[in-house]
Amino acid sequence: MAEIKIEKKKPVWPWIIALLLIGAVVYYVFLRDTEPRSETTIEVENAVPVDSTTAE
Amino acid sequence: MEKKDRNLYRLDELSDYKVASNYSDVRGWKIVDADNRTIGKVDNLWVNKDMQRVVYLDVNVDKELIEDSKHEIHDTIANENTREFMYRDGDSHLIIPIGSVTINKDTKIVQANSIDYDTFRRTGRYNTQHHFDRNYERSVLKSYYPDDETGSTYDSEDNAFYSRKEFDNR
Repeated sequence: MAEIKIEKKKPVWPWIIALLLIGAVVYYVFLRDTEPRSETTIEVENAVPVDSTTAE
Repeated sequence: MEKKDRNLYRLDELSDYKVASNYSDVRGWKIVDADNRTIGKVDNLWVNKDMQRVVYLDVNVDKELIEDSKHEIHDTIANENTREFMYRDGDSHLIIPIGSVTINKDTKIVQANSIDYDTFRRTGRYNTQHHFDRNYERSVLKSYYPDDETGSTYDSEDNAFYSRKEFDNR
């Protein structure tokens, strides 16, 4: 004869927190990669006029 | 069924519960009698939360079976005072104790082994809008198993009521 047991569903919130943490880590790493690159670009642009003035 | 007295819930009422692993969720499966005649479809599962298991299959009765018993008055024991029972429009569901059926996972068919079509036809149905009470449960058991001794748990209002072979898997 049949039997069907039930059980509590596993909570979803640990997965949500884990996804948020992963997202936060990825976002942090992305920011760290892009910020130094933009500073370098500014330095290069400033360097061109300084060099030309010195040459004159 | 009064909310404070409830010990049975439809599984879909309990959003934080599900059918346990390794057990079949038979909702939507066809249910047949001992002679393979269609009785209806399993619409829901009535579970006892304390016991963590299904105690009844909630069956949406086949239209043909309803037609067979339409306008027919049956002598049914509706409660302790035996009285006639008449079906009302919309009473299209009945309950079957889980221990009274076998489940075929391959064919997805549930079979009531010891209950025949005529017994289902004579058994009192209920309307899903109104739930049911212990008296209805007793009347159903009496209809399915008229020769059974009632036993000491028959009058029980608590979970001891389900300590009967009709709810057992053995």
